[in-house]
Amino acid sequence: MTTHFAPVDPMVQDAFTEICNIGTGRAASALSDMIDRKITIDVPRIEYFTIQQGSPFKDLENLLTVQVSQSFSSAISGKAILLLSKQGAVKLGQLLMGELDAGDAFGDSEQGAMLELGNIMIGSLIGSISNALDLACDYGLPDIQLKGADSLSDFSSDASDFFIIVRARLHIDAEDIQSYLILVLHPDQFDNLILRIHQLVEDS
Amino acid sequence: MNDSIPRIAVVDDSAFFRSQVKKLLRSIYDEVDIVEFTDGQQAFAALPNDTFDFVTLDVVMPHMTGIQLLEALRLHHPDFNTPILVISADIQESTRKACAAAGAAGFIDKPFKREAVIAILDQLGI
Repeated sequence: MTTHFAPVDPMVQDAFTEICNIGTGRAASALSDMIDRKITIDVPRIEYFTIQQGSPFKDLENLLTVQVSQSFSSAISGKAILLLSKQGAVKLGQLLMGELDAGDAFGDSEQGAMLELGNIMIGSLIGSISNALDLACDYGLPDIQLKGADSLSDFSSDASDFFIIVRARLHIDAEDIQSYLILVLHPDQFDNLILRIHQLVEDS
Repeated sequence: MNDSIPRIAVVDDSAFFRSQVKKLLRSIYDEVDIVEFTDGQQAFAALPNDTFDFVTLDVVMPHMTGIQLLEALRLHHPDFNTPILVISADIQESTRKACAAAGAAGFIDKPFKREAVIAILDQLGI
């Protein structure tokens, strides 16, 4: 299934990419501090899709994934998710715990570390959006699950909900870890987000 | 800091993050007495009845958030004057302002840098 690109004004798209770029840059910097390694990150690619269009995560098909999710509410409300392949999460979990070469162990300690990392990465993205759009979000508690990427529809209460995917490839040492930060928004919340970014562009 | 062993409360629902804070505090002080709380409610019940040099506090926690704890301490225990450092992944300006308004002595982003924590502790004279 092809990923759907929502009809977003190019200036709005550019502004939103820049806001997300700040958020993912901060997330990478936070991760770098946590694992004490240099991390570089590509400029994020932003895509939009609805569950009706099928999964855009071709690279994660049939793989177990780690999903850290957290709800947020303000003038714009929704859910934010950090999605990684289990393999990528194991690598990050072991780097966080300082337990390299621990096989593919992903026990309670690694999951606790990944939950905190997800909280920080989600906070970096939502915080950047919130600061740029002058919002004040309240957060729910983060949650971690190991599931297939096709289970993302569980985060949606309506088939028309928009999934905004921020693809951010993390380069750590010689390895690349593909991470996805995903916002799940009801259509009226999505419209509100686009409207606010539009206003930001007009005011600048 | 006086000559006695510093006594510090760490309030965070993440076991991973509490271990990071403990590691940091043990790298700053030769000896330190650390008491852990896993949510705001637990901390609210204990903090006013104990003596600490300072408290580190997360914002997003079950039962009672960090901001709710700050507000509850101010409302129900106005004499409680132990410095509280908020350490949070929530980087919103609105959250920083809300913490400051509710009486937080300082705000540090997660993940913290050792130097940043030491600078704030120096600044606060603790």
